[in-house]
Amino acid sequence: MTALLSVRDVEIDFGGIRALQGISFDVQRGEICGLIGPNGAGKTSLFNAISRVYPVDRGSIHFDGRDITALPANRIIALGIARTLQNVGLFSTLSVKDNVLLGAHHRVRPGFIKAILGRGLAGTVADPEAEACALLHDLGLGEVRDHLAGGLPFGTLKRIELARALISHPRFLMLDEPANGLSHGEVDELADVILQVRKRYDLTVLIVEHHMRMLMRISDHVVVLENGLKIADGAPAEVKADAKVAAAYLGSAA
Amino acid sequence: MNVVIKPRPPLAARVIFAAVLAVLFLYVIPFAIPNYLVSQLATVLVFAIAIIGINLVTGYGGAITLGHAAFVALGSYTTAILVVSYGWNPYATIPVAAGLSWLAGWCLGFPALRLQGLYLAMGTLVLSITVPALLKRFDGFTGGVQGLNVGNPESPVKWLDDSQWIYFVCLAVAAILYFVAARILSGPLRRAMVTARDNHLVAAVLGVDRAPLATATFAMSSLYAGVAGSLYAMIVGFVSPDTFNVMLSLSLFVGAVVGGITSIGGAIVGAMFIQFVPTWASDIDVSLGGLVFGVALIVTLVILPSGIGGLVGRLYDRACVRLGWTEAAQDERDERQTAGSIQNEPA
Repeated sequence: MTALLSVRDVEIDFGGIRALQGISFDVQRGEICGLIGPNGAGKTSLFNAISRVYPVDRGSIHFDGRDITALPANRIIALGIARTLQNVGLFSTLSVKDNVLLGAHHRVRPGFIKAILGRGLAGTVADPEAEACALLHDLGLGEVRDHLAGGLPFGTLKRIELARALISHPRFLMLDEPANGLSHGEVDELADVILQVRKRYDLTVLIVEHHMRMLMRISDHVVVLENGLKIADGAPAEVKADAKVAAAYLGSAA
Repeated sequence: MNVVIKPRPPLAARVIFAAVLAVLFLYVIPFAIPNYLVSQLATVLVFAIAIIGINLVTGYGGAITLGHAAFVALGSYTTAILVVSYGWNPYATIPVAAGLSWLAGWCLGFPALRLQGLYLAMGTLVLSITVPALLKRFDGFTGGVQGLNVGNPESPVKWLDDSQWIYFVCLAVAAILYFVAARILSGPLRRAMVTARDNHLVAAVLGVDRAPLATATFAMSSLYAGVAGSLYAMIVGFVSPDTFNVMLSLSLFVGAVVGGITSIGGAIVGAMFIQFVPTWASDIDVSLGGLVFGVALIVTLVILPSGIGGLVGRLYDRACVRLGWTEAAQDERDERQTAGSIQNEPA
């Protein structure tokens, strides 16, 4: 069986600055792949290229055998690719449940005619409300279901965003710095949550993360970037032992 | 913590509220006030329809439009030309006006919504400036500066005079369009619109395709303006190019802001404002009319950004909390009752 995600020779230029230089790697089905590297290494660029938010200048990205290199960002979620955002893209004026239900947009496909005629007098389009409530409950968010998202603690918002990604029924979950801004205890909890949801929903996961310890703990496979180049790719233990990786993180001796 | 308040007044309160509204709109306005006011209130309903259109495109679409008068003109002239030149029944022209303005909105919305923010405001402003000139230029069709004499539709009911009759026609159309807007702005479509309006990146990530959504919103908002125009032609009985000038676009926009840009219930308040306040102000001093608009717009934006509709909504929510008329309070009562009945069961 081929890899679920296959990135080949991807390059991105930002007006003369080459953010990514010929990156290639695969993510196998069912694995958790960690993407790490120092600041400015190109992790977020690569992440955004895969989720089609950034255009790719050269190279190709295949998902489940399908070329998605030129697909617009809003078509990605329907293929089963859900992502979170680094600074949490939740809407503070909507309730937690409504924020989660937003993740089901591509399943519900609301339009004007559907909304107006809908299900007759019974209401407009059917929402997967029960599913949203169950997901919130599973992630320990049942209590805040009817709260406005604005004003909730950051760790809670991260979980809400995870619930929003999960309700889209993804096969491939992309997490952009999920541990960013969390306390030590919260990071450990988050790692457990990620492992749990991977198992329960049969997911393949790609994580961009600064938090080395967590990433090494949960990843099956780690890709290391530095200055837009891939410098290591392998099991966490191998990568940890790699001299180039140590140099990138600690500064080279020379 | 900010819990979302979901008001759920008891059935009796809802029945009383509906009865008050019914008495007000079905008896007091048409039968208990002076006749000249009845047709003014019919105009208020028409403005309210147009303002709901602005609520859709500006409040939820996030696009500032100053070109609404152009679509009102399209609706008005569709009705006028069909009635005057082709002898149509005036009511039969309402769906035609609706369809044509929807189509025009769709065609214009397609390129226009690719313009962002201020540029769209300018583009639509140009539209409002152009339309009266166009109407004058094609005078063979539109009657030019003289306008077209549509005439007021006669009341088919013996015990209703013409202005009462047209009031009821406007009320029926406004009620239907209000419920249509309420359905558009509920559930998943509302959330998708809020997403597309507030965060383009998240919208894309969640699979919300902004362009067709924005175009459909613009088209729907034009439909509202067109229907308003069609009814307006029947109330006034006469259409002329200079009725649909930039000032009409601006007053509708001011009405939408004063009523609450995201509040379709507030549309009626905004419509009352633009119908009555400038006239009252002009009675005091001729130059006061325009000033009142400007001041009202600024005061609303500074003190009540969510408009009068938003304020009433907040007060209503608060009252419901105080009275225990919320979903959460109801659930709590249900729970207590269930708990009580379990305890009462014989051991």
